[in-house]
Amino acid sequence: MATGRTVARWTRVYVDGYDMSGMARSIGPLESVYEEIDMTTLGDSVKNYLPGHPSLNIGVFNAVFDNTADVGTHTVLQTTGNRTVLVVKGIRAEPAIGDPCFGGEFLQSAYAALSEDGVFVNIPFAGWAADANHKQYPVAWGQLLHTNTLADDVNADDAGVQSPTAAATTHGGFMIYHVTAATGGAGVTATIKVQHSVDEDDAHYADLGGCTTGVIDVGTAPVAGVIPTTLNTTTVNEFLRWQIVLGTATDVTFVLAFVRGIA
Amino acid sequence: MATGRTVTRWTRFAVDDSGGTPREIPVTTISPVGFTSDEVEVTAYQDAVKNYLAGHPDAPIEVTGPFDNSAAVALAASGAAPTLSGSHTVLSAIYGLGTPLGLWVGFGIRGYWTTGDPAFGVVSPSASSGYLCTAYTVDGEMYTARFVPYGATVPAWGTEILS
Repeated sequence: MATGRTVARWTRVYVDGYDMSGMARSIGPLESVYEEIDMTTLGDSVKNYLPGHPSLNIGVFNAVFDNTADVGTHTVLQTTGNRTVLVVKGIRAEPAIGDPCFGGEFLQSAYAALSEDGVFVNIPFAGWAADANHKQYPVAWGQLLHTNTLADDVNADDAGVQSPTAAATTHGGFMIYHVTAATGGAGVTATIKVQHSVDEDDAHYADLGGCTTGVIDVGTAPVAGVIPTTLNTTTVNEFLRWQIVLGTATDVTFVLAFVRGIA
Repeated sequence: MATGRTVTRWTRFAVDDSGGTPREIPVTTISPVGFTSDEVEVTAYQDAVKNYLAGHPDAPIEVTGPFDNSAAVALAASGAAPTLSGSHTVLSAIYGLGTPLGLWVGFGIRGYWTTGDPAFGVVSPSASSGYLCTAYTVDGEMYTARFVPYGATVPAWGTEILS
């Protein structure tokens, strides 16, 4: 994982299990904005405020109009509704494990085709979906645990992604997964999950409570979802890693991220 | 300590991280720094000209800069070259926090900021006074963050560094 500044060309966008990066022109702004509740009293020397409800949103997704069967923007995104979205910020390179991510389940509020020399689509989002299973979390920034690459065996690596605070957190969180491909044909299965550990030792990693897809069909079509920890007070140890259990699938290509809860 | 005019290359911006440690983050723009007051018009029919009184002063600060996930490092001292922590590293952990933060904008006078040079903000926050980060937005390569005052200790112009 590199650190430092970057440029937009290294951003990657995943929507409902589809890698939209090859059609995306821009996405954002990635917003985390709190209401400012004016608490000023007559006796205060300066206006002062407390944060109210936050608003989390991925903004507007601008892409090329594409009607390719199964995967084009027009094919996949022409209807409004809830979308599982993950925006990965690669740091001066293709995304790597540990890179910052912004994601969750958002409400796509419109779809419009624009003719400006080329034909493009403008897809605005309205924020956290009202029926999202993670809406108790006021945060969308997390870390990438698995890049959009193939996995054909369990993860036995010691290395994990360290918590930004270099310590365990105690406010739960949620995983975001996008399965973009699998080998074995329609209906093949696998389980994708998050594991945590107090240190970077393969022997010490354990399943993070709640953060598993269970056995899912990874072969019929791209699939995605958001899965929170068992409780929003679940302890998430300092180090996280991806894990997979292959069922009938021989390999799975997927993206996985985790967002730690905050107080 | 020099006096006179200066340019933005000597401006510094720092804010407390989620643990209360001062961190300097890269900034490209800083909104107007200082106080602005509501202009309450109290003009009467019989007045010769419109006239006003100043209401409560406000001191929000908005900054923009490059998205950056560098590790956090210690704030550079008076007279030293700035040492920058990652903007995302710091801001992603403080937006929405109800704990007041220290915030500091230092205007170096034709050189690295030195004690005695002008500065604005809250350099000694308390559990009930400081700045709160109410927004953190990333668009492409750049971030925007907004801070508003909270509590009894007002932001002020001074000549000290955030501690």
